[in-house]
Amino acid sequence: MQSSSPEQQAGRDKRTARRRLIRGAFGAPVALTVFSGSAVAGTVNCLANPPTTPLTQNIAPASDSDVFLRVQMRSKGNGSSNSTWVWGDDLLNAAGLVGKPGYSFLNTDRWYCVSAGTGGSDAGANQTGYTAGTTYASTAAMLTINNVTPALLPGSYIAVRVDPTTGTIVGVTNMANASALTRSCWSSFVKTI
Amino acid sequence: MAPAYGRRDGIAVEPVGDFWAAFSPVSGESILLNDESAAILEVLAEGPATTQQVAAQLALDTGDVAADLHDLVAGCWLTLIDSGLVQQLALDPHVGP
Repeated sequence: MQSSSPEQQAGRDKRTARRRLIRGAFGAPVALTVFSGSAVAGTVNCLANPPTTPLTQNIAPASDSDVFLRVQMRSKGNGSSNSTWVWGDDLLNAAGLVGKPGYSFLNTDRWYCVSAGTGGSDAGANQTGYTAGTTYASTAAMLTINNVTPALLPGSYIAVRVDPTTGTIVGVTNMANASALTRSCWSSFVKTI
Repeated sequence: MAPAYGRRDGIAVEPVGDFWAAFSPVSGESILLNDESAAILEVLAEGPATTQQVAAQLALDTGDVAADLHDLVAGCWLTLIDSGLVQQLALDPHVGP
């Protein structure tokens, strides 16, 4: 029996993924960056259970000109009910606005509290005493205790609505409800007006 | 004219269990894909294509109506581009497999 050439092998393999598609059940294409540890398990779950139709997140924008940025979330805490945050520097990078003036939130190393924790106020705890939807300076207590700042949450992204004229955050959608996937899975959203 | 999309040069895609692992030399990251995303890359391996053309090719595989797949395919471009696997090309209605 003759062995096949690399070209013949490539030809046979070329349509493998297409052959694996289930007839009549084309789901949403999903591509997720691989992270280490437990995030991998979550990623696999996201891939295994994609929606069969694109789901939209209902967002009520102030105007058509609102700017949305996808930014990686951060969290702080000791494992349960952690507080979650958006960091101004992350927004700055996401928007490609490093070094550009005129964006008050983005330029001043501010932290936006997405959700407050419930576990206490020491350095390793979940940081109570903060209010979701409020912006804090980097000098706030939770950022100065032992210099422990909220860490990046692998695979967790959030849609942040930014006023393009001032750079301030005017809305955050945490995808807790009517999410395309779960908050840790989603990679895009559709604005509906 | 609809935008066309092309598969980035040098990406590697390998099956990993029920999924696919893709490495992008552009992003330097490995990305897990489901069958749908990997299938889109396979279509683009035959040449740049528009959303409509990709949907039409995949509809032949799945027996779906191409129009039903259009929005699903359209919704994936941003993710695939961000992942360094696909690039948007100049607007050209004539490209495609």
